[in-house]
Amino acid sequence: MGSFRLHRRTLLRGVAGVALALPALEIMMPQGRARAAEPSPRRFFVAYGGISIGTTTNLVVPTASGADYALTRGLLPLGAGALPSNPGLGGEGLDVRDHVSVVSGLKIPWASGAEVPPGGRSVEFHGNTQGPQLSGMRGGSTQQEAPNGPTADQIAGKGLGGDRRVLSYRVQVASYEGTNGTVGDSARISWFRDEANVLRGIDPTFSPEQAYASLFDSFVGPEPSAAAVLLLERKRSVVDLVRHKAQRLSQRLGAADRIRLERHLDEVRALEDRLQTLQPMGGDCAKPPPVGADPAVGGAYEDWSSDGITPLGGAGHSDEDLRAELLTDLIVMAFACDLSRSAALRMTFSQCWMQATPLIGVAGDMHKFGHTAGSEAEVALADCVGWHVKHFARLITRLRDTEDLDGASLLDSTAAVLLFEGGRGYNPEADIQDSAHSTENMIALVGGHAGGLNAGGGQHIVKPDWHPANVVVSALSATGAIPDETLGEVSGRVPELFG
Amino acid sequence: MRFALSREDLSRCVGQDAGTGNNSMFVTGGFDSGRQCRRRAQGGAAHVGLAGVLVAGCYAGLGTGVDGGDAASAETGSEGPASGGGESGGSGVDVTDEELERVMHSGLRRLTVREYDATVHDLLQADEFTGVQQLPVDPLTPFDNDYTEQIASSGLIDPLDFLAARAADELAADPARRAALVGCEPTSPGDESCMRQFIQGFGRRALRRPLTQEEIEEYLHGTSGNNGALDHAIAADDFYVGIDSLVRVMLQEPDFIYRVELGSPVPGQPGVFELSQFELATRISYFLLGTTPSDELLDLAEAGELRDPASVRQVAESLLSDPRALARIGRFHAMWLGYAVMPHGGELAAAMQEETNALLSRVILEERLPWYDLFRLTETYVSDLLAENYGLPNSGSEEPKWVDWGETGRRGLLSQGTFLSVGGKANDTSPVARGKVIRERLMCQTIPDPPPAVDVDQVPEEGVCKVERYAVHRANGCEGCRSLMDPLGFGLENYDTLGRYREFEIDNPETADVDESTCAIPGEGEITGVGTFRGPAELATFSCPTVGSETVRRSSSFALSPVTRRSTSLIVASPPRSHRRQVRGSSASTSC
Repeated sequence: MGSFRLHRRTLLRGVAGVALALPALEIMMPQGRARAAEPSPRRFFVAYGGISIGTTTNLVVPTASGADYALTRGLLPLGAGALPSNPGLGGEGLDVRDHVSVVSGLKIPWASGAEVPPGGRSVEFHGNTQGPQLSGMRGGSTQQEAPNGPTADQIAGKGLGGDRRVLSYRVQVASYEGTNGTVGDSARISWFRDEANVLRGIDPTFSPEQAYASLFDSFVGPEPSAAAVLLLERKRSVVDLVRHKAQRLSQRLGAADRIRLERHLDEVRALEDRLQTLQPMGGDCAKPPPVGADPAVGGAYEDWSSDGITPLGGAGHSDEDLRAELLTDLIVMAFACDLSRSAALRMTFSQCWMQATPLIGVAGDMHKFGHTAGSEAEVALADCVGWHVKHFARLITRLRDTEDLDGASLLDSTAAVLLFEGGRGYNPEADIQDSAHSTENMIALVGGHAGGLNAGGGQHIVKPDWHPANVVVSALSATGAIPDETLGEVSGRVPELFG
Repeated sequence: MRFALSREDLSRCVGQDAGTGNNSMFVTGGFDSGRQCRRRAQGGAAHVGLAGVLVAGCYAGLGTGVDGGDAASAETGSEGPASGGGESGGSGVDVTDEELERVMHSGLRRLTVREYDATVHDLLQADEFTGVQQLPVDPLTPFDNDYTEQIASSGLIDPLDFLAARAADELAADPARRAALVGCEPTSPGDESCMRQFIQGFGRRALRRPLTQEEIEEYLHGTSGNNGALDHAIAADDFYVGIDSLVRVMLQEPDFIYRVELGSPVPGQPGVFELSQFELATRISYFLLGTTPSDELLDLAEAGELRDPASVRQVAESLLSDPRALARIGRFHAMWLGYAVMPHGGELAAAMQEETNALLSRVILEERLPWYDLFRLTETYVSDLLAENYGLPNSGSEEPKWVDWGETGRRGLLSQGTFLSVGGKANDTSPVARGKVIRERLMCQTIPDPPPAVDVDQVPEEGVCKVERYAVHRANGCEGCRSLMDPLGFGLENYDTLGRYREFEIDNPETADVDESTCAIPGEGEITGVGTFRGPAELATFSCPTVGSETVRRSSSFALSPVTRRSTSLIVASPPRSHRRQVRGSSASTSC
């Protein structure tokens, strides 16, 4: 039996040579407030909602441009006034107009025959608009939700944080038919290129409890308890042994299996590295209280009542409001503590079938409203847009109200984008107008002030036929994560966002 | 009546006479040795056939041949754990050319969410444990265990870490359960003997093989630069802190998370390996029960008692008496036939699932009827709720009973609400979707995706009967594909997505209102070039022959190798030649 050893990297990190003679608390001390004097890092956030913004009637895009545009129903949560009295949108807007701009008139070009234009999509709609928006790369000629290039969050993560983790979360729990029908790619919203130049997707978590544990279970403050130090050390030993055994197994596998296990091993190494990372302290960074047990999963969307028509009260509803709040709060604190500098949030699946009844007070799912005639459905669809906007606006308020490491507002160093699956207009699949299956007249919301973003306050900017990825480029560029104002095949940022 | 495939073709496919109803198609399918197949085919019981996929002692490593693998990688002697049964270092098996052709690929297969939950439950006796909110979703392609879809990311590793910690914490909070699991009473925080005993016993169950001495020492004392469980226990002055560490480690190890099949090289057959006894025990347990092998099964493996088909059959028979086997069989059929996620829920859907599982249990486990009887049994298991739904007479009981389908035009599984829920669209049936399911899931055929310009999400046009709408669609350049699917689906049109009989179409799918003044349902279907039919009972008489070969293909896919949209090259090694021609011909002729 050997004597108890502190982790080798603990020794290397600061107090090598005298480690065993020092109290464990001191050994484990984070680097502390020395970081507070340094400029705060920039942060990038992107969220995605799998719905379109309308059909025959516009209830989302403001009619006027500039700073003083009148809020539409879908954008009401950005303002300070009263919201429609439905369960999802609450009572008052969040008053973030000074921090958020709306860019409209955007368009993703589509294929002509089998030829997909740069940054474009196939003629098939659902699932095929996410990739071009998040990566700037054209999609496949048929159904393909996965992008053909790394996504903006991963590019930002690499450009901004190096070894910091890129957070990938999702809010909607229940998918349609298990895998979201035929359009889904396991809810992934984030892809990166590995060392072999292969695109790898990240499985986003929808468990706030697990997200919390992953971020903060090994988080030690400036005065950790002895028990916390031992627990962290034990956790490191556990992961180290897991990595050790995975390495040994990998050597015994055939080539194909070895590649797959190496991917697993890479992630174990990343976990191990995260356990070595000491958190800078400053601003409002603090270990938040535990988020508690995850909200109950409300069953599949398909879990209707016995007549097959009437949705049950909880069918397909897994308290997505609470999940959105918890996950965005975790993102904010991960930014504040510099555990992460980039995050991607899937709010809803492409071709979103999310149970809308408890969220907006209208029976049905979010996808259905885009395919149902009548003003009631159009209003419901706008409220579904508003539900996404509400949580985006809430994130903006949390960033605004959180002090960064340098004492400024966290929002000052952040660029945040909200994208939607579709706009409203021409549908090349069916050759019809006024369709939700359209990538004409799309919008994107941009929040934050990193790099001079929204310097003059929020505004409505009309950019006819610009690509939504141009808005993403603007946000990435504002953070300094990309040097050349290019994302995939889409170049140029929206100048008005910096005016 | 004319079959799409001849009986002779089918016999080659499944190695037995399907025409007699002897339903051992599960047994064969190109992954069992010829001799074993034939012996099993004479047995004739469907349930035993499930064991057939397990007997295959060989697999072709994906790391070989074009994949650039290295045969030496499977040498199991010098380092790392024994591959089981004391048989590392090469196989003595003699594989014939015919058998070799049937050897299937095997890959590192991660436990599905369900398998993970069941495994942790069985290992730790943790009743309520589940990772369903944390682990990545298992795509259904159609099965949930397709290893080609299992790409590790932080979305897997972080939950594994979290769940291992949760399992350890919950165990610590339950001293009685923990004491039972540890199996010895520690005399001190550093009781090495007791901890060693736990490592050996729990480790064998967790990793599904005996641990090497090197592994045991690593668990106890750590690796270079790190502490082991014994160090943790002593540092914390608590023996069970060490136990906690061990549980956390083992539940995150690749040997636990993945089903590892290294095997031993078969002499003279590069790239072919014989499974170890423990690997075979693991394959048996996960295939039939969906969980980790029991101590008893591991004991059999350790004693080398899974070497011959008769022994495996005996084990399989035993496991099939476990209630979990029916759940597994139910899950297999549900994923295969597409009703694992039904488009409706509530009491009615639960009753439908109970009905289908009762059918599976009766045919496969209880009466050991020909497997085809799943599709032609004249009775079904319904409560009054379900009877009323189907238009059957009430039995006066809330408890389900077996009742005769009578003259309803229904027989077997294709008549049940589970299957009839598949392929719905916009709250109504979709003949093309149903036809596609039948072609692909039951008839072994691949229907190409619709061309990019087809908007499959359009809401049906109101005021036009479905037959007319479909005729227009077929006339728009998709005659090839649609003629394979639409006529099949139209033969089931008298049955809505809840399995109810109807004679008129739904006028408004949003409200399911039926206006009898509009579209009457003809109800006649056709399998092109074969014949016409009305309803599920007559359809079953057509589809049965191909169901046999498809069952073989799907069961082997479920047990061993994925057969997915993205990996059809990994298909069962030797589907019948006539069948392969059929599939190719169908694809070529139906390209839109």
